[in-house]
Amino acid sequence: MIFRRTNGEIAWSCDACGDEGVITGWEGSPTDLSSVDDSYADGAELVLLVARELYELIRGVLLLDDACELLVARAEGTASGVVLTGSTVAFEELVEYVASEANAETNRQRMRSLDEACAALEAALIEE
Amino acid sequence: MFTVRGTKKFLDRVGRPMAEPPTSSTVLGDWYANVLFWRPQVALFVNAATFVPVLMPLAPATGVVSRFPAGMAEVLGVLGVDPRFVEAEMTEMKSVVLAKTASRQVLGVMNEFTFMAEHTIGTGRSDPTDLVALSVWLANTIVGPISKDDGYTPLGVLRRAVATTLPDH
Repeated sequence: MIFRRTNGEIAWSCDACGDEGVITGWEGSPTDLSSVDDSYADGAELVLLVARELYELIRGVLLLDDACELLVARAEGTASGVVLTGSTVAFEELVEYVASEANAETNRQRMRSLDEACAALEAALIEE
Repeated sequence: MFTVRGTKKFLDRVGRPMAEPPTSSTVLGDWYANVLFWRPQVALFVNAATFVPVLMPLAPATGVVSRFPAGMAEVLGVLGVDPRFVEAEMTEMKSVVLAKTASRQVLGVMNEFTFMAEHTIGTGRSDPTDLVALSVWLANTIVGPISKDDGYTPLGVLRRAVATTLPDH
């Protein structure tokens, strides 16, 4: 759960573990995505629940475009997994970026995990 | 007959896919396609067998797959492919079937090409209006899934495919 205060502070608490805190000084930092524009990634909005391990793998992908960056950053943790919200095009591009990372991966185990992540995302997209 | 396997954003603009497409009758087989949101928009085709890329203007989107064989022939010609091979491919490409993508490896390569093309344009090294030159440049770049035997490049794989088809080449 996230609350943005008028003074720029972000108060947060985790529904899964109960941890909480306040984030300050984030504006202008590398993690400030407030000016990122994902309007080019059109399509209907999708909400996907993915396993926490899958989300951690996706979060480790080195190269993402703006729409995918926002898709990953907007993720919300829940007790049953991680909820990703974005347009169909953003999700489709995410599959492409994960596939691209899998092509470049030299560690066979991680390559396999990335392939499985692509398959899981594609399957979720087809179901939607 | 050949099959163009498009991403959702490509198929949304070009046409409906067939659920179970027939096997392409060309030597090079299926082509994958994606839309690049450049101005003007561009279609990126990548051959599933060789990873050779072909960039073309997308508009008018409904005719892009019928314009594709000519665009492919132009790129293959600049790459120095034997005209007999190109002619034979063109002859088999009179009709086209649209389908959904089926290879994550090709999807990943399309993504790499997009990144490399945007980078070379962004750094002023390539002209975004010269899509043939950009296609040729990409065909000479190192692509992850291609082996050392083919020089790591789509052009290397293409040369092998041509040599196998035309032994007297």
